[in-house]
Amino acid sequence: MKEEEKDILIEKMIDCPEQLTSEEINEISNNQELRELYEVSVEMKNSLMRPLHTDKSLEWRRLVKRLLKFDKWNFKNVFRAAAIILGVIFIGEATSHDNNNLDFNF
Amino acid sequence: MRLAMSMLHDESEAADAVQDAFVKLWEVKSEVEKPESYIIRSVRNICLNRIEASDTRQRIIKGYSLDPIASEKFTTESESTEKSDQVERAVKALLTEREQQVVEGVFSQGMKYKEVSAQLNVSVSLVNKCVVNALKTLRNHFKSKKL
Repeated sequence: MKEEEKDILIEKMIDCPEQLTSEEINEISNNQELRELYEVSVEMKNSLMRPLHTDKSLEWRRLVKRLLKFDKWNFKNVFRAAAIILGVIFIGEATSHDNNNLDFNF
Repeated sequence: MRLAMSMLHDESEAADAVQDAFVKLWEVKSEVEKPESYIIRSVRNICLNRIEASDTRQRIIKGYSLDPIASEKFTTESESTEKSDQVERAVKALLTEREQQVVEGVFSQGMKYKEVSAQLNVSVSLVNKCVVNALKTLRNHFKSKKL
């Protein structure tokens, strides 16, 4: 691979990676130099990228919403389980009552 | 948040990862001794899981390492900060002023080549040349230091 071709591929790799074709991705993965340069670029992003300002109150509201959803889900499940248990007890009682009636008939 | 951002390179994904870690802490039945370290460990693991779940194309698009062991290098926050400091020092010491300006735009601010070229009033091909030179210089430096 010529140096100019490598440079073009690096430009795509850094600036518009979503436009890389499958062949180009294979080339980056299999060409030692390109792969090493890619890894350096990752290292630079990891080290230099600055987090944007995070809206703490917004994040807190999101978290509270998620936690409430989680509690609501638990609450719903407890009710569901209780309803099933009550249902089973009720059906059991009703069946035993019917059987008793049948016993009396005999 | 900084740890998640440095691993995932995406503000909203990083915020989600941190939220997941807090929800995980909330769900823990037993008492957590050091909640702060628990959160940092959880964030790191959540980020690593997300990186591992992505294929080569997604990794390149999102700027994740292709080498799975490299992702594991984020062991503690202090080690990660130390590595960042080493990279920052190398950028300042080894790159030309123009290369540093380009690196600042492309890697620190996540700008596109076109935006950097407009800001610095240079051509897009010069921006790429600076990026290629910077990457090669730093690769040689890290190789010699075995970082």
